[in-house]
Amino acid sequence: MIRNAAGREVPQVVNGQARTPYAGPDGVQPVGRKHSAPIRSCSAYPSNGDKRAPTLLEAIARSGLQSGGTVSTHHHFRNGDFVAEQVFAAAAELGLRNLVWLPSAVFPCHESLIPYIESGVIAGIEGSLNGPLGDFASQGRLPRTAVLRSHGCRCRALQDGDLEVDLAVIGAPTCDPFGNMTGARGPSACGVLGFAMADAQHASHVIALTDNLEPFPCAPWQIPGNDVDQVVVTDRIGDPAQIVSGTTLVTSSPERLRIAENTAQFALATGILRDGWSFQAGAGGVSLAFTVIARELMWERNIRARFIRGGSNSHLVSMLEEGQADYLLDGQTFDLEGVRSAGANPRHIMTSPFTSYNYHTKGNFASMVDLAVLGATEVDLNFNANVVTHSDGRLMHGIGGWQDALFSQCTVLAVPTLRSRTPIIRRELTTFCGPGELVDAVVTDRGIAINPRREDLIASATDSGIELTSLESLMAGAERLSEGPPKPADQTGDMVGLVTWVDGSALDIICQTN
Amino acid sequence: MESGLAAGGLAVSSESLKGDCRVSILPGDGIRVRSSVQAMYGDSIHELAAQSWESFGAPKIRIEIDDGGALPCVLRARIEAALAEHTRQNLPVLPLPCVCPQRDRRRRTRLYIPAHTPRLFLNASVSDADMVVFDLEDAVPSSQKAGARSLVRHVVPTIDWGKTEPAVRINSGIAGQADLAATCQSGVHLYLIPKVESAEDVARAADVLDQFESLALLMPLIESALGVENAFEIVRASPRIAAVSLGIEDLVLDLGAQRTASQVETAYARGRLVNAARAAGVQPLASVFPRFDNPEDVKAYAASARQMGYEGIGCIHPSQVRPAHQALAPSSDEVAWAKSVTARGQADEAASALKGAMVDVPVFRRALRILQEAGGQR
Repeated sequence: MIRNAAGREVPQVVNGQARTPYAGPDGVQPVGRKHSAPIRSCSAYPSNGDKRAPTLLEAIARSGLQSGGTVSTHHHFRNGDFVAEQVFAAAAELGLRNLVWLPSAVFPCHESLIPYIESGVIAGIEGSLNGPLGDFASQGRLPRTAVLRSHGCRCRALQDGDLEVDLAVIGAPTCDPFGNMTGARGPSACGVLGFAMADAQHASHVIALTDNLEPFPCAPWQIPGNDVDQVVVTDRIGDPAQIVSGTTLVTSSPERLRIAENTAQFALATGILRDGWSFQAGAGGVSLAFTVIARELMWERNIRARFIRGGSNSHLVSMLEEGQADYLLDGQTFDLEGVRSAGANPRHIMTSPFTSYNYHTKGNFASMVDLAVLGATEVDLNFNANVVTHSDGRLMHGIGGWQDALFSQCTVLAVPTLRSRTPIIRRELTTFCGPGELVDAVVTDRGIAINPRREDLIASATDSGIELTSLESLMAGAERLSEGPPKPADQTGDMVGLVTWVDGSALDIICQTN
Repeated sequence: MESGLAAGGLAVSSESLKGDCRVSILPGDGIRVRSSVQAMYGDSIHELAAQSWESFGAPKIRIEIDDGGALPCVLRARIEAALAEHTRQNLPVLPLPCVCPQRDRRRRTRLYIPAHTPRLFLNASVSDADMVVFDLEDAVPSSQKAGARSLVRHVVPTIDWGKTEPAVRINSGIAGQADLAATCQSGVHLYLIPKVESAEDVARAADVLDQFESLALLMPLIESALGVENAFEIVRASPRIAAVSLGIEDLVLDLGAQRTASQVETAYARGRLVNAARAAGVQPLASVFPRFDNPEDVKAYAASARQMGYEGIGCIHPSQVRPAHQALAPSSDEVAWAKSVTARGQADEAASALKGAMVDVPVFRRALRILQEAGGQR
């Protein structure tokens, strides 16, 4: 173990792979050239462009996947994903064991994969891990250490070669026999396929799994068939009811509304919410409420956004269609309106973690966004934050694109002061996920604390008459109600997970909880 | 719908108990805690329970606590209520908080929350409502009244209410006097007394407060035809009275009328009440608006109340607060008018004219009040 720049003890080798300790938000400077997929020849593929295999089992057998190999799937179908389950059912039937699963994210539906872990088909998971599988990993029941990578870090790892994908199975809502595919159409339409783009380009073998085959060409395609080895038609790849929510309801929780309102007031007072601005807000309760309140303020003041970053939803789509925003740069689609717009509106742009989040590239979109409104499970007095574990040490939330989005021009952590009895602001984080250097303000139901590094924001907020507070004062208020800080989580258990920073360095570890 | 894994491996459903706890007194001994925040606060809950148990003379019982992340003030209230019931002892005396209720503060919105539902308490404190009313009366099932009373005692003095006035609606009759006695030393600023029909009803409540040397204010709720007829006597019954309102549901029943959207059936009562209140120098507050799905409806209700002279409305959901405040604020036309009136300087003895209308002292005062109301708007 070695102490990294965040002051956390991290291992130098994880799952047999050497790990550089975290060296600060700017990361370790990369060297060398990008990693590439093996070169293939047209002669190995049917000249009529028909790459169909009869079954997924057959296709996986042909892919050359061996026991101990790595298999990736993606979270385009969110909680309605039927792809991962079919992949591992076929792998089990083929007698493959000790596979490492590389999901871009997992959802509660993936609890169905636990039997494959228990039977030894899956030995480890690397990706964004949460919910039932997160809890499962927390209990030390995964044979290999889980490696948590943000969306951008996953993409970077594929590009840099520190994560090699032997087989990528991409769920394709509409696909042709050549492998051109799109997420915008079909019974399992999910909007955009951005998370699979890196895998399509870097995996050793790529299978497109579709429930909606149409004759060549499937146009416009989001992923070209030139990256695809085989195409498999199956009954269903996703449950439309679970892929996207029909409606994106705004929270009625007064606490969350208050946080959202305070965030909007902060954006207005600091001059961030101005004509031509840009912002990123997710589909969580606070983010959605923030979007709704920001829209009201924008109408009142005749303000337009140049671009907004999705996760798209009905509110962002309305902004685009009603002229409140010029462009919607979308990484994933959260509701049916988002799917409809992604398929129809030329200003609704599909982005991928490459364009938006990858840290080892010539700039990315995330840092260009004027305001990112993010959540956190814990924040310490130096604005460092946790987003993956609860204060009892359990791994409960996906890391998602959270670390990547921290790089925005102004990052706000919009959090309640208390979650039931547990204060969110505390002296020491259970898990260190993001450095305070990148967090510009913490906005709560009981006040706004701006990072002292951002003297400019403090000055403009104060000039506008916004009352500011400090993290110390917010913590004291919460601890008065909770009658003291929570007992720190027991961190003496075995390491079950590694949290990486965007550059792939070792940021913190997650210990087994009982 | 996450559930906490508790000691002993039993899951505590934190949905039903969110922010709350269940305390069971059983034969036997010892204290058993199961909590959704076990790892963080399990020990602290145990300690808190042991202290309460000792303060009741360490009776020979077993205490079982199922906790969904309740704040310590909620835990303490629930444990004390259970111990008091079991041992038939009185609730312990609490340290007296320093409270200075303000008679003339703004009461545009008063948000009712059932006093037996702790998960709503913190939300209410950040709702921006001018007043939060812990309801001990109709919203609380009779089996939960004692627990609710205990919660008020512990929660009101613990939460930072900011600019919100913490109030309690007591029960009517004898139960109400017991509510007052149990809670009036807990920092409650104002009590709503339901079903008031006469000045004596108010005097009885004031007597209890006098007895405990509480400075709390009173707000009678008039809910019957007789009460409406006695409105002026009622609002003059005590200097503690800061505001008055109608209980529309009961009143309509008593009148033998039917509720309509136009509220025509209570036109007389509403007119009578605002007149009596103004005559006695007491704030007239409109009754509760029962729907919260459409902010425009809330605005329309509040605006019509304001036209009649009412200064605030009752709310049953925090989402009503914002539209109510918007509707109760003076319009931009009104503000412009008020500015033009006051810009001419003090209206002294002589009446002057503005845009063909007379501006005398009452008009000038009305303009000042509009500017004051507008100034307080966020």
